[in-house]
Amino acid sequence: MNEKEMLYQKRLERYITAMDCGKPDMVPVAFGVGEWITKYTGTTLQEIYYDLDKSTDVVSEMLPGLDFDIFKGGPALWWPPMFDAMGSKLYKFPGIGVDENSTFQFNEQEYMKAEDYDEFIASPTEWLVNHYLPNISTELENPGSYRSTVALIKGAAAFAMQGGIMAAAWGKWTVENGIVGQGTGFTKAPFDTLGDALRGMKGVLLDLRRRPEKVLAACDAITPHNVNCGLAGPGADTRFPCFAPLHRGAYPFLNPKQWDTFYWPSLKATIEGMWAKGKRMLFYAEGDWTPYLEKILELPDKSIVFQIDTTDAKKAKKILGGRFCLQGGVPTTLLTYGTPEKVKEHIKRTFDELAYDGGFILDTGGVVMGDAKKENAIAMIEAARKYGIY
Amino acid sequence: MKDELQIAMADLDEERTLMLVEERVKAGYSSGEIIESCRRGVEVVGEKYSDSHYYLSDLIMSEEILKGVMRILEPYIPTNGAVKGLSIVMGTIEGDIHDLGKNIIIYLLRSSGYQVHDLGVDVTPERFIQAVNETKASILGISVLLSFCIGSIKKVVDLLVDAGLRDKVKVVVGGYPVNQEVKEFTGADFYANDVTEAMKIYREILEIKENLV
Repeated sequence: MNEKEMLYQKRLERYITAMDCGKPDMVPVAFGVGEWITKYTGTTLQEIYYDLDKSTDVVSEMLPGLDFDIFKGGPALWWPPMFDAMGSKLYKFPGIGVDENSTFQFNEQEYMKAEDYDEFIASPTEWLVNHYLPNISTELENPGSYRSTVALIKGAAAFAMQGGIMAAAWGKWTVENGIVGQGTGFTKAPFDTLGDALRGMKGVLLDLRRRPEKVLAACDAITPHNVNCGLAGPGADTRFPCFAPLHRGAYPFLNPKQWDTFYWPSLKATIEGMWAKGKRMLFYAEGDWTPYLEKILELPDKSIVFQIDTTDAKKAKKILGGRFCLQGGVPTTLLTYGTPEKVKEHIKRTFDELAYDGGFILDTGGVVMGDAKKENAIAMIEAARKYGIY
Repeated sequence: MKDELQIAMADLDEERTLMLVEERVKAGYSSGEIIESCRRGVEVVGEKYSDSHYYLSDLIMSEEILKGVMRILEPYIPTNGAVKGLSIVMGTIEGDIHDLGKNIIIYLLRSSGYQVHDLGVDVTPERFIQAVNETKASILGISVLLSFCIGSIKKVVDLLVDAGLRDKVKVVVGGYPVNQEVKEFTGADFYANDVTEAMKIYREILEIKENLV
């Protein structure tokens, strides 16, 4: 084993021990190279999004010398050419629809109408192919047509190309730096699949009162697909958690009765379905989940890693600690408005409060945006090593 | 609380609210009387939200019901509806297209009788200044979700200073990422992370300003 391989093994053990609620040799640290990097590289965000070589190069240049454990990835979340190939209406990307240095934005619409529920529930995939794809993509408006077929092939080819390029880049980053990738696979809460992608937020929130039985039936229909999505993408891997960004379950979107009735049962079933196959979820609880911590205790031990964004961290530790690994501790705004000294003080305090008995991974609470300062991001890693030894 | 319409509105019973409005129109009630019943219902909704009995989904439902009421009443509303004297300019800052919080605040302010000029989303600092100038607004509300857009809010405040308007208008920033640090950085007067806080701030400013008028 060379030096980097040994480093990888050590970091992997640290990560897995923490996820199993144990106490490793030191607090594992997660780190990602966010959009903020473009301020320091002389590139526009548009270049970073469209040119995969450029976006992987800036990461390759940044990583050497940084001592952290878990890598969350580079600055471009999407590769727009795949969406462009299908004439996708879903996103505005840097330079197209928004300023070249502005981040991407989701164009939320009711891509599924209230009257579509029955057909969707009867056969979700069939409905997506016949109606959703034509609704979200100008090139796919006429399924089965020459134009639509070519656009599908182009989109699929772009997806495969991106996958190949990113896999090679992750391989290189891992081998050269001995860092561990955060997760494998992706899924969502069924209610979020329905709300984010299909009915839109307002649509789904009004449905809760206007057609509640349809919402429940749709969430039930989506659940097996979301279990499969979390498992099939990563193939057989069960070492690393499946990423699940969670949205409408945050306080205060749904009232407690709605949360219990509409949000939780199908999310719980998704988690249990994956856990039955040994797959853990990175429960990426964006926003504030404080009122629901007790309900989350219903999940099997260790079946999730709970991400603390604006959830009350001390309460999360008190209620979930020991049962589930907690991840987070650094507010994203601290990386923007703080100073390296403030970041260091904060991390020392966070470790005292949240990490003392293990089962904790240091990370930023949510997605770090383009306004963060590099010196604060570096200070976070350095402080974690200084104060994080058990 | 004995007004059935007010109760139906407060209970978010869409079908019953709309039915009662139709009935009252037929029975010869004025649009003003009907709106007043609904407004009181909305007030209860706002109180229930503050007490954590209602959540965002409930506020959105109440907005939707009131829209339905207004559709029924539109033909009967006199064109020059009386509104309170002070006006408010609101919008989502440049680079950001999120408008949920902004729309809820606007809806609650309008149902309390205030005149709100909604500039929409992705609003440039220059456009905010122009609107404050044109409307002589007492409050400028700026909504933001994406933290990297906060720099543009600072620009709005700086431009207000340059235009000599800074003393004439209170600036409130609202949204998920704002806090004391953001308030200080942008030079805003107030910040709010949720609807209850924001409404409290607006009411306080408006009460003070109304007393001065």
